Amino acid sequence: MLFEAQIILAVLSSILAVALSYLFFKTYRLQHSAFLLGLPVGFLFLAISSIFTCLFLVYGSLAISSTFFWIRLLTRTIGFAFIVFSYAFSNSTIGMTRNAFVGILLASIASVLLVLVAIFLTPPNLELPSVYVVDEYFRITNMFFLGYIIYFLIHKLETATGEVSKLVSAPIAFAILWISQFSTFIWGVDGSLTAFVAGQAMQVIAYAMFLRIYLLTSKRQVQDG
Amino acid sequence: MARRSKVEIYQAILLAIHLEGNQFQKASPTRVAHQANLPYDRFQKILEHLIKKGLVIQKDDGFIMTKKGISCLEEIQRNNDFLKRMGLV
Repeated sequence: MLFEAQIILAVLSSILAVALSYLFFKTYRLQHSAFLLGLPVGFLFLAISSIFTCLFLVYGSLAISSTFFWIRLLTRTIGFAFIVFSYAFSNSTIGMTRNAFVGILLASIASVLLVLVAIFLTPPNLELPSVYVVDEYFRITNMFFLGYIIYFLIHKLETATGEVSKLVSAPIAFAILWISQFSTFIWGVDGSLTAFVAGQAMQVIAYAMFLRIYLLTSKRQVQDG
Repeated sequence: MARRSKVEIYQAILLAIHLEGNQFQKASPTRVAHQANLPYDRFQKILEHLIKKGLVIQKDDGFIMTKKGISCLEEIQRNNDFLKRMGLV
């Protein structure tokens, strides 16, 4: 039962992340600000990560499962890094060009490929640290990235004027995503399967909240000013 | 005042044409340029572009928005609202 729930949640996560990636890409296409590219790319990496979570769960007994886990960890952290990138540059006076962004994107893809090459080409006598050991470091990095976004959004809320209620959903969604990472971190520490499933469920809730934010803005008439 | 992006300038022009059109059935170019806070020569270049894209059409000595123009303005406003809710603007 728990296994089926994990698979369903992983599939749901990847579908929602792809949908969010598409919506954020639409936003970028209209706005043409390079810093916004971090969101569609970030959510696409998160979708890839969820797909590899699914593969890891299905093929958990095979030797290749640790490779799936590596890809899952890397793509997740890179995804969060790209989302942080968008927030960090949204207030920046330094202009981010599309070429610079493409450079960063290529470097990220190269880092994933390099890790894969390292996994496959490392001689058996020179063993890499177990993916289940480094997992915790990745989770801490993810929590740090999400913490930055939450801090950023709370700071924005404090300085906001007017309709503050509109700005509350995003920090809540990121906070839920943070709890999701914390929950998976707990799973890494004590192996509690409930923590893992709860982490996945939190992730789905957070993605659904982002989708809700988009839907809330989708039906409106031209407003004056 | 921060430098406006291209989209923000287009939004200001489309909104001014829309409001003027609602009030006077057509928008006067000088008033729209003034409301959008743009020099007239720059405004004219953008207006030509908007006409070419079918967002605005000429009516007598003024301009009115097309359906495409209204939906474009709605899309820009929705986009801005979404970015605002996400804390990105």
